[in-house]
Amino acid sequence: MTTNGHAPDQPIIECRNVNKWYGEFHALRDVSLSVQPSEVVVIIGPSGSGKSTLIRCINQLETHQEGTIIVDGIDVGQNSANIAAVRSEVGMVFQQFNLFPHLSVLDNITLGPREVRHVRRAIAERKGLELLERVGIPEKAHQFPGQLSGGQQQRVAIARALAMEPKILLFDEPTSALDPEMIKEVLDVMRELAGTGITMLVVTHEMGFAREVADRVLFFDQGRLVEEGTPEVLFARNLKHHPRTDAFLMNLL
Amino acid sequence: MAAARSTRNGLPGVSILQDARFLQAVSQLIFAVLVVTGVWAIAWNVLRTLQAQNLTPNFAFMSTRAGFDIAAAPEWYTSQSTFWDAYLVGFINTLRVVALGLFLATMMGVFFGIFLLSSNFLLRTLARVYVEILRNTPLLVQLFVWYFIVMLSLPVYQQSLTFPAEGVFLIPVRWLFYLPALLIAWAAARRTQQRPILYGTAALLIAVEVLSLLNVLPAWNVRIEVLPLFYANIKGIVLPEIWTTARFVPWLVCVAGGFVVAVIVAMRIRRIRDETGRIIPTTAIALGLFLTVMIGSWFILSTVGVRDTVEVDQNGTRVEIPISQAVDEELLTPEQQAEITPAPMLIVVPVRGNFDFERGSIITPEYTALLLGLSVYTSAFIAEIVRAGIQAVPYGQVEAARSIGLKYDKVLRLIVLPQALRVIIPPLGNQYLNLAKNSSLAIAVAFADLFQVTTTIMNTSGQSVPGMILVMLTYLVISLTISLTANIFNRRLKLVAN
Amino acid sequence: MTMESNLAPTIYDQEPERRSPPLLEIGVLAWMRQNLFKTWIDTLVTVVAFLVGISVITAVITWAVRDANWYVIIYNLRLFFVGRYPVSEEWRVWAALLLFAFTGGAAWAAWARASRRAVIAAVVIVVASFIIPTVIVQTIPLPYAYFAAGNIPVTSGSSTQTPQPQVTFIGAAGETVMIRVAQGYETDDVALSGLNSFADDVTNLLRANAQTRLTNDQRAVEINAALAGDLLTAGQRQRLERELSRLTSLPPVTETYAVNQAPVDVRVLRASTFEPVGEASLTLNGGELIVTLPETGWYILEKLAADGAESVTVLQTRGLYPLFERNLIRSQQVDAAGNITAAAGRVNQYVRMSDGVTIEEVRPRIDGTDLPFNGIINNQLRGQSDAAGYARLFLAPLLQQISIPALLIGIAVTAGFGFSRLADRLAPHPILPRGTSRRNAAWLIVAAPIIAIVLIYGLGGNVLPVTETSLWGGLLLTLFLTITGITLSFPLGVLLALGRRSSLPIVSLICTVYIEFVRGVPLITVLFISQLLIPLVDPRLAEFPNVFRATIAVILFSAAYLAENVRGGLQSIPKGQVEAARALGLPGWRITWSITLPQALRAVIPALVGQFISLYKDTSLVAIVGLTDLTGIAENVYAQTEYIGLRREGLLFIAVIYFVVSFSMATLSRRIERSGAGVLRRARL
Repeated sequence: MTTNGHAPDQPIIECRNVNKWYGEFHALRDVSLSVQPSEVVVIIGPSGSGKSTLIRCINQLETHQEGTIIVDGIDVGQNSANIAAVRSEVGMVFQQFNLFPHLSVLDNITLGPREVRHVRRAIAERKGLELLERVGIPEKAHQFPGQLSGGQQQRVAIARALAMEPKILLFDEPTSALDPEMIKEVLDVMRELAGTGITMLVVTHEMGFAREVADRVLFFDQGRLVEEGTPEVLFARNLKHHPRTDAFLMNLL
Repeated sequence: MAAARSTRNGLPGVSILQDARFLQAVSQLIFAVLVVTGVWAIAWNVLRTLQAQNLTPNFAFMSTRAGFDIAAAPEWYTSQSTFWDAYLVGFINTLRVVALGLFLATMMGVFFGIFLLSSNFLLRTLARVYVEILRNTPLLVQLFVWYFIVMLSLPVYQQSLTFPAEGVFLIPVRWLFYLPALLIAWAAARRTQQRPILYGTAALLIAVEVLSLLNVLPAWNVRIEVLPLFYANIKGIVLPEIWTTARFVPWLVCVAGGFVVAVIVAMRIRRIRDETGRIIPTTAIALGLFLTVMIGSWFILSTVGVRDTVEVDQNGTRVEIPISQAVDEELLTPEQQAEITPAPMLIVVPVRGNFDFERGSIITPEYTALLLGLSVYTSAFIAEIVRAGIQAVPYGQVEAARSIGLKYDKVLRLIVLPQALRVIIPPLGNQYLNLAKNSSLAIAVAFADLFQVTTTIMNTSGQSVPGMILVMLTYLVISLTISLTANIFNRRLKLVAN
Repeated sequence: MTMESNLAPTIYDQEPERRSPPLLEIGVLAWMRQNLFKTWIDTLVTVVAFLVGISVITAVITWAVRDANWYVIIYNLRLFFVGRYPVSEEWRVWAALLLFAFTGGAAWAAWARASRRAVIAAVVIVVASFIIPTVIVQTIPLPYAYFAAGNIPVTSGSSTQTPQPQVTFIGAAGETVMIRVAQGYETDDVALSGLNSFADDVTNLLRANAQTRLTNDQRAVEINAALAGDLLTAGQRQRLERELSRLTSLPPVTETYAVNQAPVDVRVLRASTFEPVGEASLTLNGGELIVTLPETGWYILEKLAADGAESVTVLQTRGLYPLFERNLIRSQQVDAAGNITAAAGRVNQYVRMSDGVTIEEVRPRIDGTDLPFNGIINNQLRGQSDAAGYARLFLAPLLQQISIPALLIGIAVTAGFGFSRLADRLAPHPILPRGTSRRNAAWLIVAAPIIAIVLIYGLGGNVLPVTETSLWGGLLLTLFLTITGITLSFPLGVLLALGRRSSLPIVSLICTVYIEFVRGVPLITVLFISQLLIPLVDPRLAEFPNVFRATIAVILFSAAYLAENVRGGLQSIPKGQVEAARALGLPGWRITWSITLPQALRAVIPALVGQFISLYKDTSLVAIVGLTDLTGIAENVYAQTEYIGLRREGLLFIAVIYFVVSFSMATLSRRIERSGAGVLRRARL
């Protein structure tokens, strides 16, 4: 699918007054935000604050009921053809990795390019091996996900998302399911990625990562965007914050 | 039990009676002796009784003349054939039912299993009702329904159901343009991103149709004469026959050659592709090549050496007359027709006679009832197995697959089903086993399967014990074959997934 | 982002309100959108599924209410449920049934909660089964019954009959009987072809004639119309022409038989004395005979057309309804003093189909010949019944038959429930709130099948004489096979499972061979073997009842499957359990008996219930070896001439019985599974 080309100064993701309910529960309340190309945005907030829901709405794993989400010039709420187009432009990394256990690591990575982009196997595999190299585990190419550690699995998952050459990468708490000693290896990969100019939207509890890598940090609470700013100002103790931001940061530190 | 293996041997002062190993050996020996004696006593008694009745069990009688007819048996079986031949007819019939039944049950089961998980409430409920009704009533009752109620309620020969319906139909010419017009409009709308093109076209077509129905626009009709291909009546289902002619074997050779060439070409292309990284549509080229050979050879063979005269029997003498004349005067036997047809194969449409079909292959109502009964019954169990298998795949897998842009069908085919398969295979094998064993209920609808034929053999010959042994061993072999196959699949799947 | 945002965070102060979701997102609308109309494909699927579902449901209901003849069920309920079990011993089946109901009630109180909804539903069902038939009988009159009188034979198709001069019927004391000439059938065949009620043979032949004539004429018109058009293939044209040449145009039936043209002398006689209780001469336009019957018993209707009249007259009557005959078996009746009050043997009963009035008097005879009665063969309500007719003819009699059993079962369940509650109240368990009732109920569950089997089979002697198993049938036999099959195959299955897992190679080998062999062959072969082999093992066993041969086959077959289920349970026990037990110094058999086996069995309860269900369904195969279980008896019922052509009704009925039992077991199993098979563990305390 071709996308409607956008001018460089236009946001690559734009949410306008997005509302979502689970049954009667108001999960996202009038969320409006925009993300520029190549920006790295970290979303923080207590659990249940709607941050995961938001990024799942961006690639329409969840549907929102009001408002518009425009990704790369496409309104994702409109119809299912748009959703498929958006998904191939947006990579996603899950908390539980969600690697396909019946496929080898290399097949996991090449599945998308081959089946969605119709890239030939040889080319896709060459690309896949490069990506594995990039995430630091080329030797695992022909093993199965079940044989890898959590950190390695998450790195494969990142490679799998990158294989589609997405413009945007969404991270849904990528390190939450990992043992402490493995968190670093995943964060290292993400840090490296952030330098490559890809747009990243990261939901995480890793404040260190946010501080170091993020261009902008958003604080979500009770289904709404409460506060945003560069990491320096958002984490700054001496500036005026929204009381809930203060409370959250206080608990954290 | 593992627990009983508390070995105490080796300790001083323990008598042989307390030696666990010795006790185990003795108890096993006693058990084995008891079992063997029991079985032997039964066998000996049975043998003695049978000898008293002058019916010493043997298998020699199987080579003697059977003397009974089997309904819908192949041509090589007559009442003059041996019991072994009869047994073979039954065995083949069982295999016919089981093989096709496994296929149908699997297809239906997979579909209904997916329907059971549909997000559509009505579809889900209908599938649930289907599964519960079928699972909770006995197969025998279902077979009675299929046979006595469904198959035997079909009309008599004169009023056979037909498909497609016979008759002359007037098709308005305008209808022929609707689909192409809609397709073009759809493509145009897609390309220009202007949906109104599609809506406008649809509105225009509806207007044309309405005006035509109101006789405002003139109606031009095409006259189409439809002759049925399939018939169904109380005597069975009649299908077209497929005949092979003298040109069939040469054509088959060409097709096989085409296949080999296509495979070789595909392998070469793949190597070139892998070496150079160029994008070449391998499958399309290979398939195109194969189809070209297949269709091309058909036409070439159909034009080479076509005869225009045929030898027919006229008043006891054989004369050569032009084919067209022979056809007009209906002088040709079906065999001759097959001989002079230029194509490698021909489809012979069923021909109605006065009281029965003169051509066409008949599937008996007994076979149909058994096949449908078995596969529908088993499909309900397979549907539940498929549902459980799919539900065993974590939802995250679906989300991950969707997030890399796979569409619904590919998510199901590439991600969900392969993983579900690992959960599905063992119980599925059990259901296949059940289907094979349940095929013995053919006796309820008087279908000449293995078991039904064997009971006839037993009744005719009086040799019941050998007959029973034979039939049980045969079922055992079928069962073992199925469970071995399932085990091999299971092991391979496990290997792949480690 | 502007430059300021680098210096200070942007704070969004205004709190968006918490709103309810848009209307389309909640309630029925949202549910419909999510479940029925999510995408356009979904909508299409919904429409198709709706059409399919609706057409199936309407087809079934239309058939069941309009076209089906449910007499085959209503008047064979006894056969379907207990087969030919002796009438005089029927109380034993009732006792067994009530025992099960009591056990069910006790178990319900012990493990489940008293659901108000279930109680209300049960009460409503019982009350409705009493009230509804009464209301129907009071408000909807029975249809007329039609009898033909006349001197000439009536022919239709291959059958020819002359109207009977006399016909017998059953009347109850105080009832009135009305007889008159049926008006409207003398003018044209359309009315005659629509005669839609109880009718005797000759009337039915007249109606069939009228129908044939009308359909022939109609068909000829159709064919001529088709031949006139040009939308036929050559073959169609040829076949239609042939069909047309075979269609003959007949004169109206009313003319052929001069319907209703002659007067008829009608008398109603008491069969015992042959004295008339009423007589009249009826003509088309005049008179009806109304007679009040003095006592319950046989009566004779005499209907003689005027001498020499070449005509058939159709009489319309009320109070004369078709009968059917049933043969029962009664064992010897002995009173408390030891005197024989009734000899053993067959009893003939005559039942009036409209309301079930039953008499045992001998049929009236004249000159040594039984007088004909309007039996079930000709009384079948031909044609279609309307909803009111359906309610009056089929629904009310059925409900009348089930009302008393429903009440008794209700009482037994309540008693069982009360028993459990009382037990907990009087002797509370020291630890568990419902411990006492659970122990009682567990004992009842074990004891009930055994008591029931003893009751039904008998012990010998005067009180519980042994019943002949060849008379057992219907659901009784099906359940007997299932329950004995599962209870007796259980120990064998456990032993086989233990044997297969045994460390003794020979034992393990023998058990494995047995299990795999039995699982590799169809049940029907095992049934055949048992029928065949048992008399061969010892000639003295030739008398061994077929039912028990089948039972043995079922047990041997079921044990192999059960063994595999139990083995699955044994494999699921963690190794630590055995090791811990061994560390305590328990001997091997003790570990198995108290540690592994109880846990294994608990783990496989759902699989065992599944096995139970499939055994229940598989018992239908004994019909193939000639036993009269539910399936077998149904086949026997519609093999009788009276019920030929009523297989649909019979098959549907037994399918429903199978379904109800099997589905409730499956539901129970699912509930046990959901409650985590711990139910049993608590029950053991």
